[in-house]
Amino acid sequence: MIRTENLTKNYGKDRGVFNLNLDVPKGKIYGFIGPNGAGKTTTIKMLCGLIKPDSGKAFVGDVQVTPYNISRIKKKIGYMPDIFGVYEQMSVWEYLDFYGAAFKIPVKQRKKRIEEVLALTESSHMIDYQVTSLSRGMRQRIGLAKTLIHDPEILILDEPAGGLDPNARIEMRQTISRLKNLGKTILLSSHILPELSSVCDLVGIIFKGKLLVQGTVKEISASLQEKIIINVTVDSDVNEAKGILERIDCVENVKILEKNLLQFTFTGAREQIKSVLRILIENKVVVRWFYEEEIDLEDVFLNITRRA
Amino acid sequence: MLKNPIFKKEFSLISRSIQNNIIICSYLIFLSITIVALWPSEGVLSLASAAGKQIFSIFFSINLTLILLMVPAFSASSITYEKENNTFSSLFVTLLSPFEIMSGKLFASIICLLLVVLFSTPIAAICSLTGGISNLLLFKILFVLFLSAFSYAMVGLAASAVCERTSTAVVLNYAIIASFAGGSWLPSALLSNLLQHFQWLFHLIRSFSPYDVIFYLLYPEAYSLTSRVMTTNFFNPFTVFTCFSIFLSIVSFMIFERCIFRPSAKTKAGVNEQYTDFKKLVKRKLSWPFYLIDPLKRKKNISSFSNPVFVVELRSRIFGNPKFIIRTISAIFILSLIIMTLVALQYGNMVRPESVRLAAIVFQLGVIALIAPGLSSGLITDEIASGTFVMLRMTPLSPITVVLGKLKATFFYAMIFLISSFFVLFAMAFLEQQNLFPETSILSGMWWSETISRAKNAEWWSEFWNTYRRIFLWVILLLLSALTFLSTGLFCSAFSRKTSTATATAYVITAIICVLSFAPLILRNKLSHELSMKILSLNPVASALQITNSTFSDYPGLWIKNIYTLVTLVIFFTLISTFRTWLLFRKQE
Repeated sequence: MIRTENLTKNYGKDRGVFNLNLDVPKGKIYGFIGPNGAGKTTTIKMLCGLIKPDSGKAFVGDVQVTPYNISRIKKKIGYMPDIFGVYEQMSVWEYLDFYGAAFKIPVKQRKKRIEEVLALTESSHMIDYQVTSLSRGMRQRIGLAKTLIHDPEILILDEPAGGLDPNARIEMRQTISRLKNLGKTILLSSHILPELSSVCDLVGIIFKGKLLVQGTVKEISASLQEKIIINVTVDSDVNEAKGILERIDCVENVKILEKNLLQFTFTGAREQIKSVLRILIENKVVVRWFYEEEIDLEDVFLNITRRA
Repeated sequence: MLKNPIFKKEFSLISRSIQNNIIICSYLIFLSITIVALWPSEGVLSLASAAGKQIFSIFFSINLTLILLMVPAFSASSITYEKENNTFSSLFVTLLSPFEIMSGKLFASIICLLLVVLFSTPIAAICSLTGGISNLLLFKILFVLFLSAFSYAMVGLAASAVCERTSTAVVLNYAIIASFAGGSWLPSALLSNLLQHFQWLFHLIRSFSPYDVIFYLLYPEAYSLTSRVMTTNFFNPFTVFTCFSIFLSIVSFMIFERCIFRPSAKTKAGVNEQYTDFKKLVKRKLSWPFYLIDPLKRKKNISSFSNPVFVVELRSRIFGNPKFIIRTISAIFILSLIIMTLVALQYGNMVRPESVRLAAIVFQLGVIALIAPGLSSGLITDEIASGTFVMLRMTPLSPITVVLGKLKATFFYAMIFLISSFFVLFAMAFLEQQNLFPETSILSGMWWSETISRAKNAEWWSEFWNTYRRIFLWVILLLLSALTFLSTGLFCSAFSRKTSTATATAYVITAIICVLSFAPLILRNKLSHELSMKILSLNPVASALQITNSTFSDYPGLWIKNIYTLVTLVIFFTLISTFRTWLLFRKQE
């Protein structure tokens, strides 16, 4: 649904975006992660036609982003910038009505559509509030409602949870999940990593303008892991279990983390992990939990950017 | 002062700004052209003592006008710009003392204006070659220029501290300059016969204007003929002006100091309450006239035939701040009534009704010239600064829809203000011959039946047209002038980065159209008749005067040419603004 081919915008000295190849399938949420200044907003603006790329191509819903196609692009996408202004002395209803009229939504449908987008973003109670008096979290929700007003297929959200408190962030995640269920394709950028891991189907990590890796969080984690970390909780003697583990090949760095919790690093092939469990059981160790420690997005990110 | 970081930052920013440098260069070029135009082309210079004074008076009047037009651009945005960009609070929490912040802002904007005056001194010195002006006199006039720039820059800073938005601060600064520098003669002209015991007070108020002081310094004899108060060594326009300027500066400084750290009106609590708290809602609904334009009542969708930009401007800018509209309309309404009454009382028995007509026309055009450029000069710059422009770009609205919607909304806005001077038009209509209608009361049925029977006659209509022709033409001229000044503001807004620069440029163009285009009257010997006609045809005041009492009989058909010129200007400015907006819409970084 969103695709780029060697998209490049060079601002000089490692600043900009270089040979970016993005691929966001239909109906998926794509999280675009990167530190500040990595090139996220530049990429998003190029997808919206606000920045002219130096080279490469960008496609939104199979339409190439060029000045000639911009009116088609505008209909297909809903863009929410990281910082956006509102008109003074206007109520939320009037604000949404304006954008509805600007997107040429017929009057008969517009009233219903305003109610729908407000309900979708859980902002129906704000209908008579003045837009300038809204808090940051409320304003983000109204911004999202405005982005949805013309029912676009694709949503491009630049830092939608930026500056929000934990509650507002959770609400924003829930809203985004609801939008996914409606069949929208969503590209969202963020530098707050945990907020994306739970909501995104796919993740792309950008650093110094280069897309370092993209895929699901699990795929990326797996591809990065050279060593497998296993946690074991036992109901028998923990020191005896530690001794048994230390004698097994491919097991290193055995540590007692808590009273009954052990952790070790397995350097063998992933398929051989089950043999470790079998040896423990054969040696009459009572194993309550045996699981692989998952690497979180933050670790993935740090790992990748350190390598880069 | 040189160690003050605010001063250093502000001064370097102003000095680096390309637009400011263009403004200063244009100012110097304009002054040089003025000198070339005024310089005697024949005769002996030693004989030109009187001519020298004339050159001086015109040169310094133009110089003063340009400086007064530039003052708000430098000073009135100094605090509002920080507020609009949310940088003021960061400044406030630094270790800089409030006085350092104030003095830094103050001197950075004032020093630039003083440098502008200083830059013009070599050009002023050239005038001395014509003779007739002593060094002391030259020094005194330059002092008047310096003091005017200083005191009105202080007023601009005070306006900047009081207002939340740059455009409001700039317009307020211009209004104060127009009142003191341009309108100080009004009490003397309107009240001197009625309140003869207060002649000294009117004389005092007249001296607040730097133009009056320059006139006094260059032509003291002529000045004493126009003033009925004896001047002394101490009590003369020069000393009065100096004292007034110092007083104005002190008052402005006090307002500045008091308001600069006042909490922003935007952060006041209770903005939501007026919509959610029941008591406040009821109170709001019951307070006249806000219930008429309460946003809660506005739940009608923008129709498919309406321009959404027009409606959003109407809802946000115009009806969004009803207090401002009501106050301004009331002020204009009261002012127009007072002026018309005073003109009638003062001159009604002495001169023809022409004086009342002239006062009415100048007043109405003055109101339009003062309000219209300020209304439209933030139309594009404000959108860009507030971050709504990028969202407007992402809608399918075309640039022409945006430009026309904005122009239409501001025209509507300007018309609201013009309605307040409706009684002026009524007075003008009243002064026309009144034999068209029966003398009975308009409320009686007789009046209506008699009028209808007269209207069936074709001759009555031709007489009606002859009688009210002037009124119709004035109205057309007013509407066209409003459109011209609004499109000028829009044009400046489309090409400027900051609203303050756009506003100042729009007022400069308005001043060129309304005041400087009278130049052919002074340069009669220098310009050909055709060129004079072309320059004068820019001026709506000139054509209004021709329509009123056939002034400018040397230029037949001037008013028709003026109407064509104004229409051309409106189309030109609108098309160029649309093209620029189109470029901004398509602009890819």
